[in-house]
Amino acid sequence: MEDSFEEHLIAALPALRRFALSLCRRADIADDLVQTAVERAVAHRDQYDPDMRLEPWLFRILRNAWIDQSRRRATRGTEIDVTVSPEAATVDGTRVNEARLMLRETEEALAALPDDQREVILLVCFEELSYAEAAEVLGIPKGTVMSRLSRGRVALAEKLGIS
Amino acid sequence: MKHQDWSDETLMAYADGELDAPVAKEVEAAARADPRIAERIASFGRTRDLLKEAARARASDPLPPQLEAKVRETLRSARAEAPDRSKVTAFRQSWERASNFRPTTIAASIALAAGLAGGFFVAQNRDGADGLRGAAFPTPEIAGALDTLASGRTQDVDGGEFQAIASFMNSDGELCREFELQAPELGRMVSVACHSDTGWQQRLALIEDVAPDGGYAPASSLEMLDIYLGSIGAGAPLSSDDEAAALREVAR
Repeated sequence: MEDSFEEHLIAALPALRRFALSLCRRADIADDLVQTAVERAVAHRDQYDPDMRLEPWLFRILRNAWIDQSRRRATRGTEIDVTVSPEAATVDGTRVNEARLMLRETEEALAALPDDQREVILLVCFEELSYAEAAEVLGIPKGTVMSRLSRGRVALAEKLGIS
Repeated sequence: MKHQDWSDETLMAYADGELDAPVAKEVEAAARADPRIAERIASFGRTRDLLKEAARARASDPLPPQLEAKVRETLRSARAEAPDRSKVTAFRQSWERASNFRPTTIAASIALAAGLAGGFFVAQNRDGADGLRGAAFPTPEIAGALDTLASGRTQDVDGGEFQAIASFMNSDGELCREFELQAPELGRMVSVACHSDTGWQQRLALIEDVAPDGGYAPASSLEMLDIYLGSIGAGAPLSSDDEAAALREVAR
């Protein structure tokens, strides 16, 4: 029988994988990362405070696992941007609908942001963590989350011409 | 005239519904009085909506079934072998698992040293102390690499390879750097050095005897590193810009 910790963990897998993909941008590495994070989470589940949401705790573990790995592997040269779908890459330009174009531009603008700003945006706007939860995941003060998030979003709005 | 009373952070927090009710009321009043404030708030609302849209587009990527199966298997085996879950037990079990996994490559010669000034002895369990083995750390070449090398980069030092891993501040406000050193006579050393008034001091060294072909540091030694980093109140790794600035600062 699965207990509630395990049920929650399974339910969090899609978000966890999305976050992993945003960090490493390679599907195979992202899957390994999720698996590593799950192993660590299970080994340290006694450290999880059941009064808190599980996702931020898992994100933090996954991010630490990523830092451990990335500083031991040089993957940067071979990163593939999985967020650009084949569809989006092959359209001929005339039939691109506006929404999709905007989406692509958003992804591009996001990719051009400094890492620390993008990371906060992903946690708050993609994964819908609160400022406090994002601060917990990143191990930084909430004020720093807010300044990075606002700077990132202002830059994004300017790049996309929606400021 | 600028609306200098309200920072971007506060207006964004309002747009995100993160403000306490009293402050939110004040912001609302200000926005009614000043269309530029209202516009600023609306702009944060637009980026939020747009990013939500982008997140939905990414979310359509399904979870690979193999990954879910693997995770379920991990949960199953954890249930089978760990009914008792005290912290120490969990750590010891994962350590033993890792050791059993690669019994021939890891001799588990781990030297854990905190706050040793000056001479620092690396693993003592081999003959022929020469080169890096038994040297006082950090050597001038290693100190030089700590001064300048950006994290993620490697450099040859003292006949071995130095890789800068990450930089962070500890709770005393010192700049610390995690690095790895790999040399034939040393094996692999995962280490943390912090910069004090007297220069770089090695604060932690985890030494593994790994196979000559290299190979990854086992998860358990990284867990030990995590525990150490937690104990010194290590902050998040600095971004490359912040790291460069911090290194300039200590170089002065």
